[in-house]
Amino acid sequence: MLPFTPQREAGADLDARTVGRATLLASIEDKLRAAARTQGRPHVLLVGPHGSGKTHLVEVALHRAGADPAFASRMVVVRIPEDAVGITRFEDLPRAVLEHLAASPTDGQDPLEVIDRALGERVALLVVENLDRVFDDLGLAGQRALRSWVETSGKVLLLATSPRLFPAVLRRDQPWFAGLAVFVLPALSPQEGRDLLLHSAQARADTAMVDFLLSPAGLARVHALAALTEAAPRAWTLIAAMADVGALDEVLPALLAVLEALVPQQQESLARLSPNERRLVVAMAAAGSGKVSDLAAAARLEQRTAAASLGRLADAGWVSGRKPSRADRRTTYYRLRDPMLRHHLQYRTGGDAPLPLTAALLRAHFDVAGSRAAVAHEPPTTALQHAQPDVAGSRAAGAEEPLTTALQRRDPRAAATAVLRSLRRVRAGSAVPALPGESSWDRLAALLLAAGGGDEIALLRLPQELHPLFDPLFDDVFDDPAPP
Amino acid sequence: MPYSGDVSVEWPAGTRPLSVNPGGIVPVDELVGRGSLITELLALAAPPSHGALLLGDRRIGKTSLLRAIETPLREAGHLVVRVSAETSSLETFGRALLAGLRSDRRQRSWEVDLEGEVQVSAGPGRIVLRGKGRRRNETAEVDLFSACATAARSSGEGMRVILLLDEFTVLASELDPAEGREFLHTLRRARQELPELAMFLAGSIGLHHALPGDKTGVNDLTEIHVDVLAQADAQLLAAGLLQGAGIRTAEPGEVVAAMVEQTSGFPYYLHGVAQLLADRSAPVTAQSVREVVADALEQDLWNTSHYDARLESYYGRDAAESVRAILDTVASTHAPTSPDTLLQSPPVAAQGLGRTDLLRLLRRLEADHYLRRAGNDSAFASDLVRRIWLHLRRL
Repeated sequence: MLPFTPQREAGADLDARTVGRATLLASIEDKLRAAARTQGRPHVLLVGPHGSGKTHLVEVALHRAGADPAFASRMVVVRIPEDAVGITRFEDLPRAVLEHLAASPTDGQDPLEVIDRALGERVALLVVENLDRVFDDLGLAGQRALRSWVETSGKVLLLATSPRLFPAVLRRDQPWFAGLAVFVLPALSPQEGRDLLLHSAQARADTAMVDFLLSPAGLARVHALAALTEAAPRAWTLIAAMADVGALDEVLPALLAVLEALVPQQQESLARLSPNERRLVVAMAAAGSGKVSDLAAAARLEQRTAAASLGRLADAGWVSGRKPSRADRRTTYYRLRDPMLRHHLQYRTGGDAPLPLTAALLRAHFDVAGSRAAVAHEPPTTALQHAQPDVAGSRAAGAEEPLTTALQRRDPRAAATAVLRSLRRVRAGSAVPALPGESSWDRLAALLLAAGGGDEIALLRLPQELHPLFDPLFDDVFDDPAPP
Repeated sequence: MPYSGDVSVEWPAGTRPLSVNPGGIVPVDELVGRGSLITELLALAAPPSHGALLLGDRRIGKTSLLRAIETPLREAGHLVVRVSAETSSLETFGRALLAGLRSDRRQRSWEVDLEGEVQVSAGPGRIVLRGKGRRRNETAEVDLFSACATAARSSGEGMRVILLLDEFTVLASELDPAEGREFLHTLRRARQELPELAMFLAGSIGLHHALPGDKTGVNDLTEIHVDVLAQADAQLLAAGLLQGAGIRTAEPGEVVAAMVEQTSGFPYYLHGVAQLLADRSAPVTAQSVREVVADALEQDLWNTSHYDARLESYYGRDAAESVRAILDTVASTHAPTSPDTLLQSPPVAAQGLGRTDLLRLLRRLEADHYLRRAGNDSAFASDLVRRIWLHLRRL
């Protein structure tokens, strides 16, 4: 099984495994069907980080739209390969269409004219992955040429994906501004993550896993893993494929199995960076979050060099920045966006081993929550339209949960105290394997105490996986800077 | 219909479901509120008119209008070629024009003079088609626009080749200024010399930005101003989009009114609001319309920050501050503002603008669709742009 190569799987199989995307899929399917039946050309862009399920959704949408005879007869689906090293100029796109149509212009013939004739009344649906990179390579002239082709012919439709929104579609002075209907993929809720795991377990008749997932403890572990992975669909897919009940129950082994599976992909991604950018990425993984001067020092770079590299990393979607609302607002704190990359680097480099501690802390925290009736009785969600998790609500329903109460009162001290209690429980119960030293405990406790005292920078420096526990406080305290 | 049970107030009469498609190509039969403009444009396809120049803010619907007249013109027997000139090269433009010309068999009568593969070469003053001549080893040339005229003549009396040229200002601005001017004059000369030819031009970049101070290349064309939709049409579009997206609401009348009020009847933003509402699972109210628009402005989802950010490139660094002072003053005043009032307002006075400079900037701001002239006074082109400006400037 190749769980993260959706193009190689049958659309029907992917469709059966799809959870939590009903509204989104219906919208995309509507647009594809409309393009097959009318002169409208609603170009679509799906935006979400790597592993968020963009390719999966594209394939499912194509599969569903393909059931419509009008779509099947009128649309010619041309897939541009995900690693589109072959698409560096505008001319490469018509070439890909020509190859698909098995048409070739003779010397001097205009390829666009040949495509137009070969299509007849049909429409070429170009499926373009990583449109941000493709547009970067095309440059302004290539983007204009593509727009011109699309507008003039009326026979070309784009169904594209990108890990980020990018200036070529965001800026009003660019040819593709507002030219694509943008759908941003939300993360799956823990309940939807559990549904995905349940589907997989049921498909292979793993009754032990089904029983565990339906138990309070099972749901608690899913919540912990959701916090650790930021609920990326690819992570759930890998957990479904690789974790047994024991690994899921322990949380950390399930996460490590996912990390191991992603090693080649992470290494390939890192290899694309410049040496300076790689140093900064490693520094960010170790620090969790930091301002330019801290990261420059950690990466042993000149501050100006680090700032320029961080700008490029932000533009390319590797890092995001946050500005504290009360402290010096000129300062931006950067962090890695992809949690799995952060874990990968933290775990590979050793350091003070925050991952086992964080995993244990989250396991303990959600175990407490999981023992309460409200969480235990959450049914598996088949109502796929409820894409947004209601984690805070489910915590609130656990009436005695002090963290929930503290968050409702927007009281950082009480919230930090609640998490410290979980931390002490983990330590007392020796739920964490032997750590290389006490620094992780001490550092975490110190940050929690400082955050409890109102130090918002300390709050920001907490391991990112703990941020979901403090979300209401973060929403209040930090502003996300506008996208580039 | 899924929303019929929720309806407590009538939808506007004539409402039909429309597809939500912000920024994309809208099916011609889903165009709303452009009937009289389409009639006006179709009338301009007949002599002695040489065609029209469509003016209007970005995303107001100029491209949709070009698409809308394409079929009726073709059905009337004309040879119609629609081309997007969104390119940096005359040759690419020429190739696209040639491909359009070849797409209709009737338009290929000129090919008797050219054999083999036809090459396009574009240079100052003309676009030339080159191919093999009738005699051996002979090379033949045909002027592209003359080829158009030949095609028109061969297809019947009164027939014209009608070129619908979208984004012509992109090409004009990409060429160096002399070439850009020559390009427009080439088109103009063809219109003047060949009565069988008419052109309809549209562009998202104002011609005054592409070729500052020179309108001579288009001054034979009738200017058609494409504005926001009239209120009744905007209501029809809003209601149609709500129905098309299956958006549930218990108060359709209020929601439609809020959409029109919040977007000032700008079709692109009506589509944008409908898309944002469709992404919400809860039933929609007038308040949710106001919320999604406020969020969109706050998060800059529609890149409305461009209204401020582009001022330096549009007007130059020094004039940009004067423009901000003018817009700040007009936006903060709840009625059209006279030049005298502007000159006396502290922000404008601080810029040291004289009356002549002020009037020049006001004319530029009207051309760029920030302001409109109301008698001698100035007001924002729409309440939406005014609210965008107030938001951007935190006024």
